[in-house]
Amino acid sequence: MSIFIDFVLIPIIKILVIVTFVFVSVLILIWIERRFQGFVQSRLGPNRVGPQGILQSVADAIKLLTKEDVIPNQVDRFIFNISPIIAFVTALVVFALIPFGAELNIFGRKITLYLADLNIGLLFIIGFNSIGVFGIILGGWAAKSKYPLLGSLRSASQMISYEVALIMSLVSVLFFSRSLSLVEIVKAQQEMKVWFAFIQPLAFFIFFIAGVAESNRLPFDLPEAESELVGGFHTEYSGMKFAFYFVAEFAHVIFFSALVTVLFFGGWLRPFPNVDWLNFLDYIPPVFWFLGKLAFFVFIFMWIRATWPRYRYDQLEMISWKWLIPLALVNIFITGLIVILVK
Amino acid sequence: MIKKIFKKIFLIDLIKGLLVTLKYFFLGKITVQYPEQKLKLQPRFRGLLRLYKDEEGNDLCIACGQCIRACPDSLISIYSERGPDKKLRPITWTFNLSRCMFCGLCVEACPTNAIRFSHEYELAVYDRKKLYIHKKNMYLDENTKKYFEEN
Amino acid sequence: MGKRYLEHTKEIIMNMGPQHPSTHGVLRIKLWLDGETVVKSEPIIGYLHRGIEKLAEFRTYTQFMPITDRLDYVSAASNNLAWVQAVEKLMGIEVPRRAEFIRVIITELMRIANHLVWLGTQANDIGAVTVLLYCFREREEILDIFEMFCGARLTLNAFRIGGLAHDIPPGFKERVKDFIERFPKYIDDYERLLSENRIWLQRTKNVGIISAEDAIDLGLSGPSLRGSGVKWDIRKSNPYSVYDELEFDIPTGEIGDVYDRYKVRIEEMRQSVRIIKQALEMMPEGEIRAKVPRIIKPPPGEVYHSIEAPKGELGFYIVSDGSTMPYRVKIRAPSFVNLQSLSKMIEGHLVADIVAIIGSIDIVLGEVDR
Repeated sequence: MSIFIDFVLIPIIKILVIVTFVFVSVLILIWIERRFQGFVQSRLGPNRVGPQGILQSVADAIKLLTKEDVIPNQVDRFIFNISPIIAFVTALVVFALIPFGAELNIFGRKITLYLADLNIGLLFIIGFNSIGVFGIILGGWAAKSKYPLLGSLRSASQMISYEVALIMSLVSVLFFSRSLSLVEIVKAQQEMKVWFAFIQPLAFFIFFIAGVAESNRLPFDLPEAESELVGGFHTEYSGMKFAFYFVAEFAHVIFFSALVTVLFFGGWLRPFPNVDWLNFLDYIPPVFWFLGKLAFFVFIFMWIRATWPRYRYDQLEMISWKWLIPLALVNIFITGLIVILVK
Repeated sequence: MIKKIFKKIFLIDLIKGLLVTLKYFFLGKITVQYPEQKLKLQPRFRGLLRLYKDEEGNDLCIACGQCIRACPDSLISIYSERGPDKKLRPITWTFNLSRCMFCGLCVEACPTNAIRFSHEYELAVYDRKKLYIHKKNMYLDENTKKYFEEN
Repeated sequence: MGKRYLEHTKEIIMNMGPQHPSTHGVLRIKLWLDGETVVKSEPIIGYLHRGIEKLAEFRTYTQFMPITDRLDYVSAASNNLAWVQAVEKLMGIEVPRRAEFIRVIITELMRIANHLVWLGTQANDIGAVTVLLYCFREREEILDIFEMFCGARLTLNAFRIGGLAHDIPPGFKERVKDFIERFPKYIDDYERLLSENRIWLQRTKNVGIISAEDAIDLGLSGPSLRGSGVKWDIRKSNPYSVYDELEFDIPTGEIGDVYDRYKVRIEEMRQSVRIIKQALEMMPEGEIRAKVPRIIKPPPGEVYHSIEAPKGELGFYIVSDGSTMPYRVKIRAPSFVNLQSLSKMIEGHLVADIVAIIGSIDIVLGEVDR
């Protein structure tokens, strides 16, 4: 009985919670983004569908569901159908590893707020992210016309070059946590009583920029920009397949914000653990700290999108190869030196 | 020199842009929620053309034809007859709204100030025939508040 | 085993079609690409041709005025001004001073409105989407001022041969003064968002360079010419209206890339504010319309008159045969002539630069195709 509960029931509940969380937060995120952009532009965003326009995303979802699924004649059917699924599934799977909070005690049972805690957690996450790039390459290639192919090749090369920068910036975090598991990283920040963002500011900066580029958001969204000649890799998709790509992109945004909070900003830890008179903050459950920090980073993603112009394709690549990767290597070198000297 | 490097590393120019956007986030909206709120129009606004009557209720239009000559596209057509008081009065007065530019040359040309701009701008109809406005609908009184509802 | 295929790369011919979010209208550009770089290009126009020059032969001089509004529909008052001044030059009419000053105010406000549209659309093409909304918010205030003046927001038709249609309403002066007090702060906002932004600089510096000799050879005019360093402004060299009594500077660029043209136009907006301020102070009382006969019949002859429209040199060439309708009207549209330099500017650039360059020449297809 106990085995049943521990190994079957609780994981199923966790899976349902995570999937619901991702879907609902994507819908809410779309609404928040449109309202936020509207307010920045001195106007309201959508405010007619439902109170204050909350049901706008639901209306969009219904529209995409009921649209005709147009499959052009010359496509490679199997790959055409599979690539949105690849992109979507890999964007969801990586949420299994993120710790949403500290351990809870419900009815005398210890329940951890993550689905799985692998020893090689970070490696797994980065690996699945890379598989997600396949969804984009194949999507552009399956629609056998020149322009989605060009768009998807560009997007693929952009994502590959920024992944190298991403991984390099993560290595310097590992010097302090000594483990690839995400839960261990948060616990290391708890022991060291300082968040990694303050002792590794350069790595945080590089990771954040690489995260923006990985999820194809402004200022790095040339492959899917409208003023480009084509719509990018998702030109030929319509209806639910397009919705998959769209949801995958927003899931990426949430995912990278979550990674930033876990790796650099202490996950579910409360700020200022040394200051005693702020101990009343301990009464707030750690989940809320995590979600609060997540929301903050998502807000910064949206703020950047509303303000800056976008980079040209070759300038994008130059930033990654000329600046981010050398800086990340220098960072690793210096961090290693300091760690050895201090010890 | 140091200042330039400092600015470049810490992305000062980019952050200035972010602060401008944030300022407008808090300043609020300037849009008007149509159709619940409508904009207030200026007195000289060029809305739909209308014929006007004087205080006694007679037509101000004397069918002189100046507006026909002034219109660049010849959108007005009048058929007139002399009435019992030896004054020329229009019998049919047709106006083609579908090609009107709202340029105002006819309003300027009219010697009796009979044709003027009103403040209506919601002019969409479902049937193209309603855009040919006949004389009985050109007047703005209680019967013809919305010109196409009569037709 | 038979055939052998020679390996060589062919150039792709790609079409940036008439329906495109960022070609500012129905412009079609045929591109010869080698990978991503443009080797040759050819703009194909004519999708918006309405036969305006032919329409002029069947309308009187006053009736043609609302049609000139629709040439460069973004800045309509400048077209009106060019036409009215050309006919007045043909007939030898002198316009009262009060009317001249009001014309200057309206034209300079229209110049600001035009540059706001230009800035918004160029920033939107390069990716900064909020600048578009900010520029249109300021433009709304200017259009409200126009509505106060003559009733229409965009296609004004407020000038008449010999002066103006009606005088300014009460409260107009205060409103314009209030607007130009507040406006320079908005320009500062745009500059803070864009001028030093490193992404903007990377997208616009050294892109679309055209040298001063090439610019003069191709017949460029307006801010595109001044961006290359040539100090040529019709308001200073052949002054018309009362521009010789007003003080203002002409901004010029240095190398003629997209960034220089951007800077020139932003500075022009500030200079326009300066002109409006002076015109408001110097405006005398008086009539607004000269004594013109009801039916306008200019003497037979021909005249060419050009003004500094916001996009360049806008000129009208009128041939009159003594009747109430002109015999032939030829419109020298600045966007049409400026568009010829597009081929030269995008040679050797990437496809992603094309939208930035088209935006910087500031074309409006209504003028190009007439």
